[in-house]
Amino acid sequence: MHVGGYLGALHDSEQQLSASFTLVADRHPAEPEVIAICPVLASWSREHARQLQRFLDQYGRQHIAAPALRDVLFQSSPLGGRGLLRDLQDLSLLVNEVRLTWATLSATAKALRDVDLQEICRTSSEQTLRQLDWLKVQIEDGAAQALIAAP
Amino acid sequence: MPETRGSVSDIWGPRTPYVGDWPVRVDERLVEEPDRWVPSTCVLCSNGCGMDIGVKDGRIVGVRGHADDIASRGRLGPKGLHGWEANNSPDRLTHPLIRRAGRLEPANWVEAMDLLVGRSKELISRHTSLSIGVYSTGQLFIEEYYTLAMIAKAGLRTPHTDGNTRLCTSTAAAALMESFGTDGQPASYRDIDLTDALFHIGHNVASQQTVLWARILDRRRGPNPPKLIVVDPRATATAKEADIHLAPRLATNVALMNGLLHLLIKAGHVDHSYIEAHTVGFDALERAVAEWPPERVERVTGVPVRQVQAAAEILGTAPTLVSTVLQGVYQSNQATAAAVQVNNLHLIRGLIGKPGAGVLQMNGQPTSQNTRECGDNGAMAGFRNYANPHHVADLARVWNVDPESLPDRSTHAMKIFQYAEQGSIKMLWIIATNPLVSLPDLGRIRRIVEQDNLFVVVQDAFLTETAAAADLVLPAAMWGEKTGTFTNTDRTVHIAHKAVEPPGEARSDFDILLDYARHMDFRDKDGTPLIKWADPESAFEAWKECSRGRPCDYSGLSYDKLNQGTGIRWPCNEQYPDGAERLYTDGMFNTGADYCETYGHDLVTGTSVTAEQYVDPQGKAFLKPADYQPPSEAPDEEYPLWLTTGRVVYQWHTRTKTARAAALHAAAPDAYVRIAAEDARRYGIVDDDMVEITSRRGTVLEPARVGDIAQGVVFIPFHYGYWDQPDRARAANELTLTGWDPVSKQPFFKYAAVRIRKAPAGTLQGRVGEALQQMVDRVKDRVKGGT
Repeated sequence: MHVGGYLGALHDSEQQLSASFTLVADRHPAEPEVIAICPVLASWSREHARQLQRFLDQYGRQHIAAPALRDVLFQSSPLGGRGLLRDLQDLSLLVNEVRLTWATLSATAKALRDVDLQEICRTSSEQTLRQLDWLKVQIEDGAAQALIAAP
Repeated sequence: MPETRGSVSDIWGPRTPYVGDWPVRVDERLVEEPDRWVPSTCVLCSNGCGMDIGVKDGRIVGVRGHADDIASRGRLGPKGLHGWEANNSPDRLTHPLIRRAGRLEPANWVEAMDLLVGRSKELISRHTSLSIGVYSTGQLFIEEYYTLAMIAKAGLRTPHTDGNTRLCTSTAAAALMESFGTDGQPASYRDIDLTDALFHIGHNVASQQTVLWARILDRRRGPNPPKLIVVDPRATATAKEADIHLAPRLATNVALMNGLLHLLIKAGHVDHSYIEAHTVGFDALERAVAEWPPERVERVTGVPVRQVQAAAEILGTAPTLVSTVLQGVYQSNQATAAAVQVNNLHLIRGLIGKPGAGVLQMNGQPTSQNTRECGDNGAMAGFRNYANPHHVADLARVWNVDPESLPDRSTHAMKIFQYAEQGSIKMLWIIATNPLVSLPDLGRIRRIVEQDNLFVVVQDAFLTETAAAADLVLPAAMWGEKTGTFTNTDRTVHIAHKAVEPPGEARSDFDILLDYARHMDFRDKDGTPLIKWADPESAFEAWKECSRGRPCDYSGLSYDKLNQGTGIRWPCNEQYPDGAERLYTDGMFNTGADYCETYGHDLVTGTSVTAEQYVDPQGKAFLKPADYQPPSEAPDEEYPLWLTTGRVVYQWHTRTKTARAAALHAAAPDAYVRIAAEDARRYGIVDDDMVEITSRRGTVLEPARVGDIAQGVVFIPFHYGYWDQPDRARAANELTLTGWDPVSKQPFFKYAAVRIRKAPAGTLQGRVGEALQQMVDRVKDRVKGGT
């Protein structure tokens, strides 16, 4: 059974994602929508990680670190519309990693017939998709101005 | 000279108590006997009172209400009775101005239009039209809005078009769309004539729509008066009339509404058959509000449990109910989410689309409705859906352009200014609005507008604070000097006729826009001129065709019909030849996927729902829940008080017009800060003391007024800028913050964290802090430089 290890990696991913939302808000203090919404999305990921605790205990905690994506992300200058676009795309990579992990876990939970774990997977996946949708719209809304008109 | 009342001291006039049909009371004020009367409609609030303009020797000399008008039955408020004086002000702009070597200098229209058109073409050629932003207003006419929408979207093809309606009622539109599928006011003022109960949340009716308040007072003094519940942190005239006045902590509207919904559902004061037949989402709403028992509501909002219960009892048992919502919700934390909960209250009680029952998501401005209809505020003309390719194709058909050429999204006002700040927008065309007083964080807005590389065009009737900072000023005609139509809060369309000539070389916005379109040589896809009309009535006829079949259907209206002495509501078509009193009378809403204006939004993140994600409720309304989220800024140790901002009855917006009406100016000549008695005691402040109020954004000095406000909150009216008084930092928006509702993008004017102190001795004599002095000096220089 490798479920415990996978849960550990997901726990780590959600915490990494939460810290990344916070980082992006810090990198863009002049973007009111970013500094308003990123903390909310960060709190969702923190809550997902917190809710995983009891399953970590249940399935045997094995600390397996999430892929160290964050080390290669958020490296470029945050300035201007392009800087923001790059950071939002980097966040999308992290969110997508989390989304796929929840999907994997969800299929596993079904096979395990663990109703409680299935429920956490359902609610967390829903919020992860909302995080992804927000990033997508922010990127689409800002793309033309940043790439065509920005100095 | 006839004046039916001194409306400054007697704001709402004599009572005509009633239930059912509101009696006539014709109000009038003349300073000379006119030689003729011209039919018109007032533009100084969102009521739209029909009136005649009295003209003598080519000047406006007074006004008289229309007895037959359904919006007013002859009444006029103090702004309507006095505001026309501004038309005659010697301060009127009479010729274009161009900034040369740092100073605004007189120019002629050829030079002005050459500059405007030349700069537009140059920017489009070098940077595309993404470098041009148009920031207009809630105070033009339908004919002008429709022309401007085509110019911006089909001519310039820029997504950067918005109006100051973003600051006032974008949340009304957003909330209506979230619940009902499209914009469109469900109720009408007629419902006030019949209702058993009224609920005003964040809406100081007595001050903002004086004639509507006269209507409400007449019901309250008549047989079977409606019960009245008011939500406001201040003890306003509206609140003082209430049977129950709730004064919640700032920024907690969602918590309060959830608490009221909780009690209604718990007590079974819901219409389950209506819910079943006409709504989706009740289970999720029930779960969401289950978390909000009255004890928790009291902890978060400060409203005592028994008050929440008393309000819920009325809201839950009144056979009919009219709720109105305005800036206390729209300009505050979780604006759209809170406004939607008011829709939810009516939906779960089945109180929509019935006589005396409905919700009025209010408009603040007289013609803001039309920016939403014509698409000057971010919407697509006719309440069409950007995300529905059939709607886009349909609009392209009406405009005879290639669908691919239309912008597929829209940039909201604060984002337009942010792009200007960052340098990607290089031209800002500001029409009939004054952002240097009305936008939040004015220090930042001044820095943006003063940038060398930003070409600022201001089209206005007076040299406002914004015009004084412009590179090009275009003198515009005012109401009374042009003919056109506009629509009030309850869908009533009125006409206003030209009564006098504009002064000097001032021209109507309509003519300026047509001239621009001609010089820019905008063409449709057949190569013929894009704008096919040259006079207002033809523009109105074109607008009718654009609106045909959409909820805001004007196809049955005409200038002839509107000249019959009363406004007429839309939809006005074959089905409703005299206009429909209310919407959704059959419980069928505009949520069908093929018809809706939007697929909705995530109320927390603001993300739009896509067509693929949309679950078509096939005509049922949406019940959308929301949980309380704390605001972006709240009092702390350094800034221990809340600031809220708002209006006074005698002034309109940045006082460009109303301060030039002698009696209105005399009644409210200066800003002030209202402080609770307990706070005043603590800070050693008494009435008329000068108080220094500071936020993270700036500092202002105001004379104090003690009392009539919740402890921990101070209030400053936002109208007061610097054109007539450059010596003191006093604009409320020096203090407000840059942030907005995620769905409606409406800025948060209603809350900020501030600290106060009694101003040190000698402050009035000019010995203020250095930063404050620099700011005041810059404003003084600009005002001088502009003349």
